[in-house]
Amino acid sequence: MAQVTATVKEAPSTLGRIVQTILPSRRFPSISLFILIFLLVLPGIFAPQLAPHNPIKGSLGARLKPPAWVAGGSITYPLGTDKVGRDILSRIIYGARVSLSVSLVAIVVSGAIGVTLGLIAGYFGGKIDALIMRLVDISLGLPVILIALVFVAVVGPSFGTVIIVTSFLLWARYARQVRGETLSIRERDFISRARVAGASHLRIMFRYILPNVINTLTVLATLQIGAIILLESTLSFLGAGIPRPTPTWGSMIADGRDLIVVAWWIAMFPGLAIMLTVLSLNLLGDWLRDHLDPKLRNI
Amino acid sequence: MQRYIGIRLLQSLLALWVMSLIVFSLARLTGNPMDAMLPLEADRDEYARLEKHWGLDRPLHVQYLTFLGNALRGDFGNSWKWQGHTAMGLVLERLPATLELAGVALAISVVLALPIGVLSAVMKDTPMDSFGKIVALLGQSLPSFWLGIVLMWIFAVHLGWLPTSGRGGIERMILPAISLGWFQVAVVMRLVRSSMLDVLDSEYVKLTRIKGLSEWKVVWKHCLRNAAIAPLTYFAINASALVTGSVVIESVFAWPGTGLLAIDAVRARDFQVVQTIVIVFSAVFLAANLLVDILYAYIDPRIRYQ
Amino acid sequence: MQHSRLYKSTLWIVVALLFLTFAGPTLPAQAAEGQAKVDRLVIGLILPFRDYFRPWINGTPDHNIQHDPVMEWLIEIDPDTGKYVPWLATSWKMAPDGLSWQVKLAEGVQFHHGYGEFTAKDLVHSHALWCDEAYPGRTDMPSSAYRKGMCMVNRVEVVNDHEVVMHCKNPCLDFEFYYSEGANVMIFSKAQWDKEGEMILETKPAGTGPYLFKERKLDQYVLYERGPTPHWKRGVVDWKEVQMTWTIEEPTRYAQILAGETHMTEVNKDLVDQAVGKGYKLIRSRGPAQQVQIFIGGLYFGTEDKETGRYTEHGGTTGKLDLKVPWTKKEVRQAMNKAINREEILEVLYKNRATLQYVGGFYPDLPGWDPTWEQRFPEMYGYDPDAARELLAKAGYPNGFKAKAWLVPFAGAPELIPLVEAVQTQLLEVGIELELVEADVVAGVTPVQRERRANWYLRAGPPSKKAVEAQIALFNGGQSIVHSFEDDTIYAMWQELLQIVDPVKRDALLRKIGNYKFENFEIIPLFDVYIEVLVDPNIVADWAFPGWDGGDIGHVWRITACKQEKPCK
Repeated sequence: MAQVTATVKEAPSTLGRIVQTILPSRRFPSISLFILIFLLVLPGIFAPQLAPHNPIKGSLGARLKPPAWVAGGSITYPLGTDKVGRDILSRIIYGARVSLSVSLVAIVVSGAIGVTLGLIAGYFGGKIDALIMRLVDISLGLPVILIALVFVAVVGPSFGTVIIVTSFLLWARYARQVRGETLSIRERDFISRARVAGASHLRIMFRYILPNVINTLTVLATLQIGAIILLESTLSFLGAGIPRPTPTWGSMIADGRDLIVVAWWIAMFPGLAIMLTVLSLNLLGDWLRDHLDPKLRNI
Repeated sequence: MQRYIGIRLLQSLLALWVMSLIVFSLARLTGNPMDAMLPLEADRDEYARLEKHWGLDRPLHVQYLTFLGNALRGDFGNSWKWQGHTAMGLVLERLPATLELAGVALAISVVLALPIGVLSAVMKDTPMDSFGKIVALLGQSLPSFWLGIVLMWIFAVHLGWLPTSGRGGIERMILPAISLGWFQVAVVMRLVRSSMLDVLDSEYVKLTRIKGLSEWKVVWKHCLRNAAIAPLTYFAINASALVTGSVVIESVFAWPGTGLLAIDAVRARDFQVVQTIVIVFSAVFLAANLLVDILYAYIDPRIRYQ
Repeated sequence: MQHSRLYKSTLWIVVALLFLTFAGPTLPAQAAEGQAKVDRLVIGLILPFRDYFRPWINGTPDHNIQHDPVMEWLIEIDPDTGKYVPWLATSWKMAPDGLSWQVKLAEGVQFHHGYGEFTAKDLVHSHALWCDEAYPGRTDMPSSAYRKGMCMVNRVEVVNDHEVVMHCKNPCLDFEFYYSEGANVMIFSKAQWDKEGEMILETKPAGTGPYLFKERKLDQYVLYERGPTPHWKRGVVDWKEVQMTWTIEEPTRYAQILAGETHMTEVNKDLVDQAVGKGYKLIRSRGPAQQVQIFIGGLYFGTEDKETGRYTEHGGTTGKLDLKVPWTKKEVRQAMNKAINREEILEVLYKNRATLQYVGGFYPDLPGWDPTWEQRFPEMYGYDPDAARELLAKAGYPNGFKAKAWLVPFAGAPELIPLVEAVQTQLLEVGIELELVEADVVAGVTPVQRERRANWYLRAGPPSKKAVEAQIALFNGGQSIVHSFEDDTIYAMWQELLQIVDPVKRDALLRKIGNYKFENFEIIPLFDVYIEVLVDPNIVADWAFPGWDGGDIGHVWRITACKQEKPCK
């Protein structure tokens, strides 16, 4: 990729230099990774050890306490409490666990489905390809949020339904991307050589094509985690997400929106958590894309 | 070429049919609409009478065939919740509001994305590039309903600059459109940026530079051309996100579009309306996809023969 | 250079925004002395319940708020006393055998749009709209939770233009309730029906109330305008126009009133408190209008009897009772009640703006009330976790047990969710572990309840105030899907109640039933609550409404405007 030089280049201002240090575009986004570890990964794994209070059991006497630095708040509840007296910080920590687990499971499930179908479509081509691509179209074309609402109304909200809905939404993107790449890869020499050597279709797909597609998948997956977290929060907002009393960032915002005037912290902090997490994921994904495979600029 | 169009058309219709089947069965499985219509205290006789009246006591496949037959004639049934209105009538009545909102949101996103994308490309790897990326990515990282509520509180309540909700006049469109559109900014910006990078690198531009002509004219001309194509290219993904977003945003801002209609209809178990909305949206999406595919096939004959 | 471009475009956008905002909303006009300060009163409500006018289609009393400005009923519920007072009926007298009521009708009441004077034929027509299954000209079947009660009257005999005798199939002592604004029989014009048919009711219904129906925008609002004076007998209402808007999102509703787009609205208590701090005013219904309580599922003690029809609906009761459920034992139900710290919930969630409830469906100003409940309540139901644990141990559950509770969001009662969560915490103290199940009413709760499968579930609910017999019928007599505490004794008492004609005897029997429910710990009674409305005191002075007229909110014509310069506190 040739270096593009702009004809007019200014010396970076002080602010510019600061910005560049904090948010480098060519250098590894370490801040993002840092945020992710502290906001998503560590709380996700060590929630019981990290959370100061029980996220589910509240005490009515301590309801609607503001964050510690606001008048009326106390350090016992650093980020305040919600309308039933539960500690916001603890709920955010446990909420990270939910976000992490939903994302991972959803990515594995939708990835498995999408990659497999994409490989098959791209590899075999013809009618199979057409059929799978139609399925992709259908999947992308259905107004997913509506289907989600109706579906949840049937089976009731649960962890499982959120995974199903999310996978239903996401598999098609993997499939489409993988299929495109497979189409181009399968014409290459080493593939035809493998075929001549008598390798089975399955072996070719998973042993030869898949590894070349991993880069794309990594980028896609990283970017998708953010989408999953946002989708989960939207479903919670509409009442179709993971049910109470499990704390999720999305349902915390949903719960807190009624009181946003009297108790802004209930909805604000989980919103910030989502924002920082997804932003970091996107930055990380961008960096990965730029560095793993420049061809993917157009995703 | 005709063969290609014909095949694609057939496939789209098939897809539409499958969607109708999915939606029909899901809607019917969500429980008896009578439970939604009648209050908890209604007794068994009331249930039985109303069920009979609405034809809900007939077997499922009979209901589906009736529905299909009517649909082909353009009759998508009557709404249960909104008495006296047909399902399709309601959807068509509310569609302009949603299209209006989505259109303005898309326009805002393009207006924001263009300068950011161009500047990011021209000033690649500088702080401007990073700044642009952050602003764009911010839109994709915020839950849109949260953004909507926050914007409403800042601009409508605390500052009093704009109305809180409802439809009517440009001023009511601004907050919901921004909440809805910011999400798209990143996508469009990325497209603009990458195609700008292509342009800047091209022989044509280098030639212009050598000639000493203003580079900016070329850049902006190409950029405007991209602005037109970019949203179209990614219409598919944009459209789904816009529909999803509109359902939530319409709820927050009480914007009377199809998104809000859908939520109300699902809550009220108004099958006919839910089915109609899903089918209309799907049809629009499929039609758009079909058009884009045909356009591409026209431009690039190789695609037709795959 | 490129910076300047960016700045330029930004500047244009900012300028455009500023321009638009200042071209935006205008301030309300200054008040003329002695008049309402705005021409149009805007009430920000949550849901329309039904978005059409004809009340008999999937009827629900909650829908009445839309009819309240335009229509009138025979009997009014006086906001200040809670008693039934004359409205379109000037007097009503029950025959000694309880099978008919002689009703005298008001004279000189005019219908809108020139449809003449209200007479007996309009009452016959309005009754038939609900009770005549094959009424000519009406396309839909009438339905409503109160239909059975309203149609106990099976014949309206016209004596003259302003007097009727309403005959009942069975003794109908609760006639007053069913023909009051608490139920659905509002008076339509027969002349209009004959002349223009049914659909005119959606655009230009002729009622006798102070306002005319002007416009409906689906899912957005309904608009009324003041009828021409001197049409309405009770005087002139303060507002030229009244608009009811529907907004489901609570923060949006709150934002609307703060921004001045609505003048009255319903929001949760925490928001109300904050708004009052900012200078807004809280207006409550004059009396308690709902009872917040926790229904205990699985109390299907009644035996099915096909001959008499006892508990045969919705599949009957055979095999539905599961004695493994701990709270089928009375001691366990009592223990659960004693584990609840009502005072704490009352103070924290209801801000002490509610009173204690003793028995489901019974209110101090309705028949059947027993004044001894107040004294007996602390000992039987009062907060005592130690006693609760003892009772549980005695019943065979020394380590408590596990059960479930539904979390059902109610648009008009947002505090129910934190309430259930608080109850969960309190029950945990005595060893009862509640698993909270978030459920959708229609898909999750209703079918389970209807088929008597709610054995392991608790459910919080705010049933509204209604005739006492109605509540017993619905919750204990198997006449709805709620199926609360059912057993043969209470069924027999209820059947006996239906035949009683003497009001004194009826009162005594109702008290007996009430005590039976009280002593058997039928539910976890919590609070009698008021309907609360937040208003802008600059615009609205006061509103007298009883709260248990249909839709919780009625008597729109009793909303008085603030006519002085200063806010009307």
